[in-house]
Amino acid sequence: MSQSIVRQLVVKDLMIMRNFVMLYWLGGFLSVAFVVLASGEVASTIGSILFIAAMAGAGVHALFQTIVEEKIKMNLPFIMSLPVTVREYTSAKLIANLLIFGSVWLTLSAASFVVFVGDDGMPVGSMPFLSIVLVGILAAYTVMLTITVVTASQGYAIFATVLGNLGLQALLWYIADLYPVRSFIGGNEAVWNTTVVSILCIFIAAIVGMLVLAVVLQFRKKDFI
Amino acid sequence: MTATSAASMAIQCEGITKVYPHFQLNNVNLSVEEGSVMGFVGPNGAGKSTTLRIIMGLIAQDSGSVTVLGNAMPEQQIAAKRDIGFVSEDMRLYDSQSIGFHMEFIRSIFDSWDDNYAGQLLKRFDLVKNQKVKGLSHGQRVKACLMLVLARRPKLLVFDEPTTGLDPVARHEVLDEMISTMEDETRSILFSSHNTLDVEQISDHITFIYDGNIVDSRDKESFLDGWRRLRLEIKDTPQLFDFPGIKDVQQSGHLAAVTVSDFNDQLLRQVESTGHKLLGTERMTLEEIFLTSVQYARGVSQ
Amino acid sequence: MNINFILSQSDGRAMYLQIMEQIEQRVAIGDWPPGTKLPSIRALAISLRVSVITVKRAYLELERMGVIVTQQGKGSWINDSLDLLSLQRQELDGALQKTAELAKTLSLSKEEILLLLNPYFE
Repeated sequence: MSQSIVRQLVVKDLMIMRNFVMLYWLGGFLSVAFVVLASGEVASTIGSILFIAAMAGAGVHALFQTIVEEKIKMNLPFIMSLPVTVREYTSAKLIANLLIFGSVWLTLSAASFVVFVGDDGMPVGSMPFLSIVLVGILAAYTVMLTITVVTASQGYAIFATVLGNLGLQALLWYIADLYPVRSFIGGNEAVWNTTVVSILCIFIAAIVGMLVLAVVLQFRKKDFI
Repeated sequence: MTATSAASMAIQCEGITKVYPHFQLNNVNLSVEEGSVMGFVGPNGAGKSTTLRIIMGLIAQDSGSVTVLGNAMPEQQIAAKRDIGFVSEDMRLYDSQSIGFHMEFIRSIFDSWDDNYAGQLLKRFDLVKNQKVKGLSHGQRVKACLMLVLARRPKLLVFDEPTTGLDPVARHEVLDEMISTMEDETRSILFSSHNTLDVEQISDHITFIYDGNIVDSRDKESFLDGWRRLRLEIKDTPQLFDFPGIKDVQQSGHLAAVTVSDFNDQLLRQVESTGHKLLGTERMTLEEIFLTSVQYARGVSQ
Repeated sequence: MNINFILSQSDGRAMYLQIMEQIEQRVAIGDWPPGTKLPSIRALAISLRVSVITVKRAYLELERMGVIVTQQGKGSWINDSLDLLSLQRQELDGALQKTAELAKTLSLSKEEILLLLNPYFE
């Protein structure tokens, strides 16, 4: 019975977000098309920026709309009066947001590997770094997700978004500068050395850790308000 | 007014305490008998909303027991909320969505949703299904929330200020619907309100709360019977007012208006024995009773 | 059965008294003759839009006065052997007694009381 409540809550959030989610998907696909069809350094840079914007947009927008807005716009008492506890509510928010962001992230990530296809394609040496960027984005997102879910505060959510974006950029610059990474970008061979693999593992651990943290912190709460 | 001894309680709160930095609920006892209407009256900040939220399981009490429809709160709140309809003043629907969206949403969660009844309520409340919530006036919004709750016919209605801020027509419609739910003797209502006229009209029992404490709780007729304003002519013999339940004294010259909270024949005899002349007794409105109770409670706490 | 009671919250008198009066009037006029079945307490409360406890009280008082009879499970009806006239006469006697007592405390004479009565008979 309570499983179906979680489902209805998720469906409700997806329905409310659906127009914007479609726009972000559209933006994302356009950016991939841009990168693939246009040629030149500038084009691919613009394309990648749009690409990241689409992902970040979908993720952040959903976080604000489904969690922060719900509290600010006083929708929370309406939801709380339904047969739910903090647990079902949290589960529904995590699932809805991961679905929205995750679906955009997954498809665009998969699509992005298209750039390596063909003779004109990007050199395969960049594949490990691209993977690090994509998983890094997912990790940064789960940090934002956890902070937003646990605090449900506009202030903290904005802070988390800034932290997530800028923090990730800084981190990626640092990683791109590491010798074991930088020396193979643009090369003809995809090298998955220890550095690359460790970085990916740390990111994945962070993703799992953040989600577990969100659940643990929320499930301990006794007051909805 | 005697209650049937085997009456089941829709709500039973015993010794509820909740401590906040600047406010505290102290040892609150509140019971609502099945099939009855309980009016909950108190000034802003007295603890009405906090109490209602504890009853709904939205806040956990620091101590004390809460049982709603047989469920211990907040542990069994999911089971309880299946049969409770809650509307509060600080509740909003989703701006960007239509009334119909919310109806679908509620319908997907509650088996007891009655589409026909929902349609009737839409008409009665003069609401348009396709209209987006952001275009609704305050009164229409409250009525929409009410419709969403009433259409699933919950056993217990918990309303926090349901008529506050409504124009007379909307208020009338809301009260009407509240009353008609009482046709089913297994359904109960607990509502808080500033509007003592509404409370006086439809409540079976009334509870006053002030500054986190229950000040008085009786059935309505006992309130209206028990509280009187006695008009006395004071004789020069310095026989003070020495009868129980005096809540207020207003004196000017030889005339005094003494407000008592437990008026009965015995009290009348006691008044006569003081030697002062009883000019008359007056019943009081619930509003006057409430104001005097609060004033008295304030005076006592100082 | 037509329940078109006119009740007023701004009327100084208790709601339950108003309800009792409306029932007694209908009996006196003959609209509700002895034996007439009364609506259930709950049904009347809802149609009058007042609380159940108020109607319950009205019915209890009417039963006490002998105007209605209530049986567990069967409901209430106007007393078959009702002598409304003598009941009202009883009420009048009580009011007259009270008036006389008050007049004495206020040191008013019988003549003065009669004068005071005049406006009420216009």
